Amino acid sequence: MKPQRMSDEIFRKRAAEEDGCMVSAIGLEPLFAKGEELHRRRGEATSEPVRLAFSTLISYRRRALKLSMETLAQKARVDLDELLQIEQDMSYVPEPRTVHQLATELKLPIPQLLVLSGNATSANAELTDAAVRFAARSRAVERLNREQSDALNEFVKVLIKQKVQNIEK
Amino acid sequence: MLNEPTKRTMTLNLTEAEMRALETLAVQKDLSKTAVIRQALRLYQLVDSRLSKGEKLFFEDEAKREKAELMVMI
Amino acid sequence: MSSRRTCRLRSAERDDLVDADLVDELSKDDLVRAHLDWAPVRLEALKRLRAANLPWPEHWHWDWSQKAGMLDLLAYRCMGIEHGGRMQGLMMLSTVAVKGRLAQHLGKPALYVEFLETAPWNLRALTGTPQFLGVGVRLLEAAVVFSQQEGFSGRLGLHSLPQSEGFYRRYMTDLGLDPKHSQRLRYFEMDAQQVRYFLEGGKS
Repeated sequence: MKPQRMSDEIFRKRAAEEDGCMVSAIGLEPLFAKGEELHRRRGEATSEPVRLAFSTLISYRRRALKLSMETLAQKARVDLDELLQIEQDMSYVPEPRTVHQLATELKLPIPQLLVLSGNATSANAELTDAAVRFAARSRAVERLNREQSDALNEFVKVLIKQKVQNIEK
Repeated sequence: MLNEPTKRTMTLNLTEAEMRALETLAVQKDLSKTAVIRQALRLYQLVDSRLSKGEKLFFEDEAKREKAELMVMI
Repeated sequence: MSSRRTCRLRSAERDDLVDADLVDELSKDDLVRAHLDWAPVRLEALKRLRAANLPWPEHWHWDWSQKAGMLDLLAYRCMGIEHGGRMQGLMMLSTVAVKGRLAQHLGKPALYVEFLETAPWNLRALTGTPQFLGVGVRLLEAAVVFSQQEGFSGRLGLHSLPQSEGFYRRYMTDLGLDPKHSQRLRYFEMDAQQVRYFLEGGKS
């Protein structure tokens, strides 16, 4: 098959169509982004309170939905070990696929959870502030008390509001 | 047209079964036999690179939730 | 070994076409140099956007020097468009074919675009006045040509950042959010008819 080339006339048209767009593409997890990913995971991306907010959010939301760890792990198709690590180990950054699965099962917005878990970066100050406030108000007890329920509901409202705002953009 | 880089030629001795497999893959993938061999080489090097870094290669059946490691010695 | 061919870009200021070089196989050094050239310009642009309370581009943190290691493998190939000694756009391709997902492509190999980016001074959102237009178009054209040379008949696949979806939707089929992608981006694929439209115009 003889490769075709674009005429100048068509190129001018296409260039005008491109103007104002930010043309970019990003592939499936490429192999050698590992260096960059590790660099992000080690702390460039997420502060401790934000990561604490992520762990606590998963834990509280699971309990608010009256799910045991085993049940959530099964429904979300993630390893129970990994779920335990997410809820208890602040330094652990779960794979993006795990975050997707959990977010879907817990009905939480995926992009915001990717940021909180350390898998994506965001320049969004409101999200960071809300995460820090949530982390500060929360404590690890077996059953959510009224205060914790309120804290959880407020934080989830912010996440959903962010999601809606991003869609509207 | 992008200029084709300098190519070198080699003769490849294959068994009947290997040649049949190559021909079948070429038809299935709508590629020339040469293109299939080149794809195989790229994939081989890619897999080898990750395995030599200590990573593992798995097949996953999402429906059955089964994962099996591909134990290859490359 | 890389080769160059002339491709034309549109100069935004003079509104005419200028000659640039499409380099079909970049080296690791080329990527590092491009990153060192782009990063400060990108950073200044980000500061201006923040001061104006405007959103940052979704790829603001990309680092092409970190991707240079990919070029140790045959499985990857990077192309760029150069003018005035500077890279105007970069594109990383996977030379290991992916499976076509369009009904007419099922089971057939397609070329996959791993990364694609235009230099920050060519983006109106970052600079207000881009230097060159059509860099993304030229890179996509180069991908189509490479796909044809590899025996993939021009078939292309890529995942788009949300900021770029509108552009790709003009020439490719949007196959929707891909749950297998780490950021759940939308996957786009170009078939033979769309290749003809992209390159030659006419009915899409």
